[in-house]
Amino acid sequence: MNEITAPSRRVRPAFMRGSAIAVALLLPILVHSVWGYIETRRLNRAIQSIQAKGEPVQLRSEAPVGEAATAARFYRAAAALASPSSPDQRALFAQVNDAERTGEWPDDALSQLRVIVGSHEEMLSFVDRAADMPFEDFGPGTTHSLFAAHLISAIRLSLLRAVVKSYDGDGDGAARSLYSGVRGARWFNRERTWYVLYSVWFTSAVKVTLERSRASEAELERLARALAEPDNDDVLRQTFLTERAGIMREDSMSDRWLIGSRAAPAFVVDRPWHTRQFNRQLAWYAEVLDVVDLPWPARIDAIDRVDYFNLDVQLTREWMKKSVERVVSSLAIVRSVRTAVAVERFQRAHAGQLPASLSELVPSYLPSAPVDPFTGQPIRFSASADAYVVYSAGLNRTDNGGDVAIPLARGSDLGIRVRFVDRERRR
Amino acid sequence: MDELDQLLRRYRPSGPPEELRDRVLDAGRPFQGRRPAWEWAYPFAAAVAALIFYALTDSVERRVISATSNADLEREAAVVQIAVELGGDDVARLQAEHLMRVIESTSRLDGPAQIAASTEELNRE
Repeated sequence: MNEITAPSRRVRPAFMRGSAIAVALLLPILVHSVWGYIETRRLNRAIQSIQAKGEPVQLRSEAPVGEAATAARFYRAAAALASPSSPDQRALFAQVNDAERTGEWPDDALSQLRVIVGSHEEMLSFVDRAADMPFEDFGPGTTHSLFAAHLISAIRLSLLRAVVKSYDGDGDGAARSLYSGVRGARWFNRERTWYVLYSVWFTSAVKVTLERSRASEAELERLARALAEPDNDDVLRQTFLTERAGIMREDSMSDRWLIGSRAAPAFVVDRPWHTRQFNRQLAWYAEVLDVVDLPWPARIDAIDRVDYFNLDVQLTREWMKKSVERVVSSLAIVRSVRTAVAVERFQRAHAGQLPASLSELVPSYLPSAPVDPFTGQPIRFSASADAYVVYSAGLNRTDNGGDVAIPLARGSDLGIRVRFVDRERRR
Repeated sequence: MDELDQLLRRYRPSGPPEELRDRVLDAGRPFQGRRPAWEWAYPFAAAVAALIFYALTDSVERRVISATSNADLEREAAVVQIAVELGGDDVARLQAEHLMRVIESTSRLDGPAQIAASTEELNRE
């Protein structure tokens, strides 16, 4: 009988089946872990690259110290005293809104405004006292929403006080009020929506002050120094850097994609996806920050051309475009107003004569010829028998002949028109 | 007879397929291969690899968090805030540091924000 020899048997079929099932189950988990690792490494590299450029990866969080802490306390006090508007005041502010747009201040509105300004002297004194102090932010833990609204009311009232004082013939008082208003806006001058709104109020107050009163050269020079701060050519870069640092806040309540969150168990499953999305967002910021130093207005168009991505799906490409326009509009307005103050100072020093061109303002009243961010050309200046206009071509990038009647209108220019209301007194 | 022989030749049953022999023998033989654990090497390797990658991810993520977290700054801000409340001088700063350490060691709090909140509660008391 032949001896039977069989091939050796290595694997039990039952085990074979079990291990195959286990591999099938574990494989997606393995892929998930590798994917998460790759994305997290990418995130780490992106953050190291940001740090290597000296750019912020977190928002400033230091509590103000010294004089800045005192300024913060004054602003807090002012915000606390900025009482909510009564129905009468709301009706008045409807008139004020119209006046700010048209430049015509009815007597009854001015009378009511005097009463309101008078009843807020204490609040305004806090805004004034903080104005000369160094100040950037309120520090961590500040609840911004309601507090911000109250502080903005306080700042606005400071600008409206300039209107009242101008009509009352107190030029220095008006210029000081403007100074307080400009310095008070330091806190939110990087906030697009607020600042563009503020710039309308502020332009109106400066216009009335220049038209109706005669501030001393010392006060105008002080105001001009305050205006130099928001006239920041780097405003877009700073805006995007701040935004990017903001989305990296670990403790941000609004961040659904926040880094390192262990709060939601689902995040463990979603983590590679979230990290990937976060990486896409950082890549978008990197691309945008690469083009924000191009000359004006190429940088505006270049930002728009970057393939848009935002973690927050509600923030559409159109929203981003308008946000950029707001920042640039604010800059154009601030630049125009700053130039108008320089024109005023020139006029004082030259027996009421206007400069033939803005280049005459350099270097005595402006460090360099102001550039219109919407065209890359110098800010425009034109004078007629009854007024002069300093303006940017605005959102349509077309010279509409200094038509600044409707603030922030897409089809018009952006800037300030100063009428020769009382030419003799101005001289 | 010749016819019968011819028929038998024509209808002789064929033998079983070759592999049947091996299968029959294999089924009846006790298991002699390697240890069964070997068969779990693949899933085991996949599980270990997944764990390693999760651990590596956590490690990288901790670096990211430490780079982007405001926790230290917020702690410092909370200390400064307490120091100001206590008078603002060097002694107040030392007291604030001490108070912060006490708060951190006695309360299972995760971050300066909660610490600041609990400090406010202490102050109220």
